[in-house]
Amino acid sequence: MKHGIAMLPPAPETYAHWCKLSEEAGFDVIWVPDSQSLYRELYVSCAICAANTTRVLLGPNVTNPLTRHPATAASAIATVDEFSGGRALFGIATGDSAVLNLGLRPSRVDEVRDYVLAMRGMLEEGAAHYRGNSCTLSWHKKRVPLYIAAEGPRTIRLAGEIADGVTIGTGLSPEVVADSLTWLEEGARKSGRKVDDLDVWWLAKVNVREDGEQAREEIRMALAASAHHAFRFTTEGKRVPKELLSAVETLKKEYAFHEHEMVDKQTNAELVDRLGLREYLLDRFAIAGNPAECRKQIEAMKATGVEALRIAAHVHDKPAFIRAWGREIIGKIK
Amino acid sequence: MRHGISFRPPETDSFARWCRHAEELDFDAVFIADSQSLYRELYVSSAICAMETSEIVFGPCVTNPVTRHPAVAASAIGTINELSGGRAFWGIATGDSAVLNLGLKPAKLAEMCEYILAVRGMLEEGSAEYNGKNNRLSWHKSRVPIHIAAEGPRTLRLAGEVADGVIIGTGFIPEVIADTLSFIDEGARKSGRRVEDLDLWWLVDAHVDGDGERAREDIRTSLAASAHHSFAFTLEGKRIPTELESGIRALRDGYKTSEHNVIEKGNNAALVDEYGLRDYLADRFAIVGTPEECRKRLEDLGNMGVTGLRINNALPDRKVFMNAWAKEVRGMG
Repeated sequence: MKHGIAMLPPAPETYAHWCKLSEEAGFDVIWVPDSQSLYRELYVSCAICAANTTRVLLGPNVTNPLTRHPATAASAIATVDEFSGGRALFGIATGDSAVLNLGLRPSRVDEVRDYVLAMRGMLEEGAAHYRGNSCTLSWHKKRVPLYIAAEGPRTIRLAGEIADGVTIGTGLSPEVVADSLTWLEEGARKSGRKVDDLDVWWLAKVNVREDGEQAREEIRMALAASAHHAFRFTTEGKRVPKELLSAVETLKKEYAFHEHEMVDKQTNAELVDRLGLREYLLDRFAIAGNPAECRKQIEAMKATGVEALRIAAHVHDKPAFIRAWGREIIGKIK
Repeated sequence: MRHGISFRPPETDSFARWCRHAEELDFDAVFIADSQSLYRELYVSSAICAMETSEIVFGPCVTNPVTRHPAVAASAIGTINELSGGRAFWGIATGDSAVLNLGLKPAKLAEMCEYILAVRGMLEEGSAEYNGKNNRLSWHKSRVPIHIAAEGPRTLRLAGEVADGVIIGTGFIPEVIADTLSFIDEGARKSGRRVEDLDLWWLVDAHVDGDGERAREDIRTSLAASAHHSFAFTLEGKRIPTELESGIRALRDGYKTSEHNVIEKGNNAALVDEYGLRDYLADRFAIVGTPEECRKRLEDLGNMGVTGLRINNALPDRKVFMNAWAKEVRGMG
């Protein structure tokens, strides 16, 4: 099992410390979220991460096609790649809190395609067409792996078709994993590839503490974020139990973006309990509990084809969590 | 006289060394270009500068209102300011090679103004209107000085009115300097200030060499860039001698943005000689020659009222230049 950790960038000094700890704990990847209005900026944070680590891979997960021109994104990730000694990855999706906090709407899937292809052209060929204009990136020629974050069939197929990897946020229950892999395979075939040709990561909201119940309690607001992300456009084909559909719709409506994944804010956490979604969302999107419970969940996932976890832990004591995950999970699961 | 040095970010190891070197040699500021298609990216480079230095002030010179949403720019410079312990400034203009290499047009002055006010609103108040939308930046509240790069009367007035500083690209002819300061002052008065309240940096192309003629030869690429920048939109009110106007226009038309400040490419340098502009452009935009000639020129500029220089050149090895400038021209170490 590969482990990647996504950490919303806090103040630079703290972030540098977390990055060092994550590398020491044995993580394979540090994923850097991009939500400029709520957290420190993406590429500056990537540079801090690169300067404070030597082994982990790192990069945006995820950025969006709206807030930077693709040439700026290509130049930025290439600079991070060079600065880190070739350790950069690039992950993109349609845009969530980063665009919603600017009064903008997320991109369409075909806009993600255009943006990714423009980036690939600039990074690998030095030039690309984007929105009818010719764009150049003359100083750089090297492949940087491009990932698409996907939560529905169309985006997962797109990732299968054009990306080097995918971070899948549909959930971790066995039937959902199977659906996702089928869609990914359909996309991959369009470009003469197979699922095995892609680097596939699964999103999980996690927490591990000696007191398993406390671990679950602490990450409720992160469950709300997962549900909002995964179901915001449609619940169709997403295997949400019928009796929970109206609760999920209410959560989408009442989700507080300005408190997106903020540990100290309660609105979204309370929403999960009020709507009776806690157990379902935990089962579908989370790995949370005491160490033995977490390991058992992960072992079960391995059987369904999950080989890499992109985890996010929205907890008060991040260093303690990072150490615990390294010691109890990474160190004890093959 | 304050001496700031301008870098177009090269590969990250070299850039890190240049930044350390600028600090060691007592330069007063590092100005970092933003032209993603030609050089390493601005904010990643700024982060490297922040981490490699401990005292020098630095910032974009210049970014543009086109390639990033203002919330991203505000968040990025806010993060850089925090990372550097409050040493950042933020410089912007309407867009040159960064936007031209994407097939886009520079922003209009009003668009740049809206962008600047959005960045300032987000940095200082946590929210701002932009393009009719409400934007927020909830994690940051501190002032980062905003500098506008200006080459014409309207932009100079705007800078005087809304900016904390001006990066001036009009040149060093005495009457041009007088014009420039009075334009900034006109703008400054609109917001109850005077030109003295602004932090002024003058763009200068600089090169020093024991062989003065070789220095003048090598600086042509930069002179072409300065002329192209400064006279891009109009020649009116810029006090260009009538007999040189057609040459300036021809240079502007023949200028290759794809070779902007790339010294190994000869096209733009050749234009300077082809149209007989070398002496005029050197007088207007440069400090160039032997160490002694450069020292004399610095003294002259000081006497004309210039107090801060943003030093540019297109030479491939900035360390050699910085050493020569600090030791032979400024007589340090």
